[in-house]
Amino acid sequence: MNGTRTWQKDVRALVFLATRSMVNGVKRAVLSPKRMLGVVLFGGYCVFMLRTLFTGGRSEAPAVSRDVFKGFPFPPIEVVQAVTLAIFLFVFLLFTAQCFSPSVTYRKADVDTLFPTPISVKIVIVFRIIRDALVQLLVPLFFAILLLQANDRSLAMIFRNLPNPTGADSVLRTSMIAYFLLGICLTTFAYGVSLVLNRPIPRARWMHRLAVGLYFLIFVGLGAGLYVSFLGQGAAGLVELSQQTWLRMALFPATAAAEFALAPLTTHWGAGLLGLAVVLGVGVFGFQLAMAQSSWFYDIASLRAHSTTQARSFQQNADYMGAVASRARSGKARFARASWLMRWSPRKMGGLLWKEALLAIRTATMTLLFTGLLGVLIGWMGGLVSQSAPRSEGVVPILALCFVAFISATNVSQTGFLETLRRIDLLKPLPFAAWQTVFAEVAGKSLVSLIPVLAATVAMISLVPTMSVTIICSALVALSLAVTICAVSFLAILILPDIEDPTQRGIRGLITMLGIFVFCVPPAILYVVFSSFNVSPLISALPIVAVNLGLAVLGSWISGRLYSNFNPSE
Amino acid sequence: MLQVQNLVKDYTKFRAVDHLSFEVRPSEIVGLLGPNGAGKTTALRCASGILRPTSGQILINGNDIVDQASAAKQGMAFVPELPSLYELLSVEEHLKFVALCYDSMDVFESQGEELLSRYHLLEKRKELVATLSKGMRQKLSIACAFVHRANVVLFDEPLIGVDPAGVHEIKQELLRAKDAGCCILVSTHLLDTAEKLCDRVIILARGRKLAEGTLEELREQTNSAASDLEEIFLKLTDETPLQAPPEIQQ
Repeated sequence: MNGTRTWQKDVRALVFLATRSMVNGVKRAVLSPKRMLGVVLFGGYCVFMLRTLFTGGRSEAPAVSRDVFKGFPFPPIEVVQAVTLAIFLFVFLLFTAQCFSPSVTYRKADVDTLFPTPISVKIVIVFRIIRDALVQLLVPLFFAILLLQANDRSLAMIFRNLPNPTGADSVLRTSMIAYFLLGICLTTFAYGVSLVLNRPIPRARWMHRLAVGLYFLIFVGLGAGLYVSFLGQGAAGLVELSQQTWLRMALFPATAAAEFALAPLTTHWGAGLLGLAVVLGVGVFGFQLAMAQSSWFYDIASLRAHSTTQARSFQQNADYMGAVASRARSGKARFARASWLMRWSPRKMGGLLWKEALLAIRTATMTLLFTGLLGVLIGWMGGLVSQSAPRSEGVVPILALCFVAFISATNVSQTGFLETLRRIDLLKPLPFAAWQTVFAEVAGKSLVSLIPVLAATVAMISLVPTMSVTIICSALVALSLAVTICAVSFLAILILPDIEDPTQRGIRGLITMLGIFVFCVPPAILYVVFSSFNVSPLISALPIVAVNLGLAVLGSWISGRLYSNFNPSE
Repeated sequence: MLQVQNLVKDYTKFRAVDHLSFEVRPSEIVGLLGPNGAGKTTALRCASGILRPTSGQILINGNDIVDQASAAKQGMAFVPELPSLYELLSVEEHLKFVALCYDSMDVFESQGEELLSRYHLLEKRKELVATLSKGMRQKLSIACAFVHRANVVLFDEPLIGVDPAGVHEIKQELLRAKDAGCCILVSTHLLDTAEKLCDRVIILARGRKLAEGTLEELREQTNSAASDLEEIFLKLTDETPLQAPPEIQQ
């Protein structure tokens, strides 16, 4: 060993890692056309920043700005304070939300390579805090510099009746300093608290629940306070609320930052400096907490890195079912047992449908809930429109229900058919013809649309019962449309079947939309023709449903041919 | 020397390692064997300082891995199963980064090229890690373990994903390290490899140690005339009642 370890040696290693990774990343990006666009945009941003810094952040604002502000009534200081407090309160709530979940920037490489090394964990934490704070503040910095570009005279115009209007010149600078200090201090605070709350010990779990409850209470309390104040006195009530001592005390970091930011205007420099000290105090407290809990850092980070890497992989591969299964394995989600469905023992192709129904219930519960609620909402809105515009005849129900079918069918088929390809090694050896497997898959995915369409239908009928027949016929058309959409989606996936290729993924989306449009033209023409001759909904619905199903069979037949030749290894 | 005393590691809902004690002496290769979920990787991750033990003590060359982490880790190297490396560093930079971490730039400068050559990485020294195959990554990870003066080396399934020639090289590397006086702890599923390579083995199941010793000692402990490690392993793990891992009391 070369003497004793010093913090400088640790920092040297971390700086080497950060700089080499950055340089190599830029080199790789420059050599890849796909990544080039991001580099150009980032380069432009850097040039803009440098230019702003070298020109002192000032340029002549458009002449129009002064004229615009002339027409504004001057604000009392209370209004300025209320707005500033609201901004810092937002920053406070945003940053403190990170307390509940450890930072997401850990990689598996950190766990496998960095964590077993003798580099001090405290140095690693400090390095991380600085890096995270910089990353989080970089985008707001862009807007802050834009704000600096504003003409100071315009600001002086706004603040002309405040105690110290000339302080307007400095208020943007103190606001920026307050924002960055608050950001850095709250990032540090969140690091410390998250290390306490996310320790893998039972006591920490209770503390975590308590902290989430407290955060929720602040949210609810604040929302209720804003609502009651606004209801009583309008905007003046909100300003009055912002002056309440209990509120300013309870949310003291935001108050402190606001006091410092506005000190040039209010000339309360004592309060401003005290605010600055409080903000720094929050950061120091967070730092002390992080250092005290540093021995848990690698433990928490390694668990987090594992789940983050896995989640990213599922996302990149559009493996929705894999993500759901992973959540279930870790105990974060529970599968519906669906014992009633388990008791059903269908034979042959019915088995494929049974499998689809079981998978839909176990993995698409949230989708079903969401699209079901959406169906109720759209059905309700459609019902209201039909009530107020009875001359619209059946146009509103059919449009609303087809929209519900479109949303649910595209949603389910996008992830569902990729899953079909992913499990093709299991499906292909089954004793079914290719078209049978394809049709069962299409029919199975279409089943999911039944729930939202049914929900929308019931909602609509409950509002306009006189249009029940039209609505039910529209529901039938919508369901048949869902089958067609699923067939087209599967066809598009089989035309461009590379699951992991992002380019194919993009083009596949376009082809799907184009395919849906083309397959919808014949039934749409039929509908227009029947409507123009005032044919009854029941008579017009049946041929449209038949055409939709016919197109779905055609799509499935073409898909069947592609499916039989599909080789997942190619 | 590596000493593990009464190690317990609890996850949120279950106990992964349950009062595990053992030691690895200099010039010794000890195999950590066990079925899936036995707690091998968790035990190694605790020993490498990645996971904090719930209770118990791990000493590396006399230094506690929790209280004297830097000193303990200075003499230790860890090779994870299917290692994740920094994708945006080149092969050479990765080796240099590890040397910087361990303050062993002199080893990097004097032996770096030889290490890269030994693992067939010399031609790829300027290439990014992102471009390496799984086997090459494994080799780089092992090269990183020897770019500093570690005398305790922990290997988690080192032979997974490596071609037969690579397996042979890694075995030779383990034997070389043993001859140099290192304590080596290897977790593996490959029983025949463990039998040939390890001086002693520790058999784990459900986080608990079922048996420890040489092949002969294991035969005596299990009162069996089994001829090889596989039979002893199956006998021991089959006899373990199939119960759920102990749950954590909330």
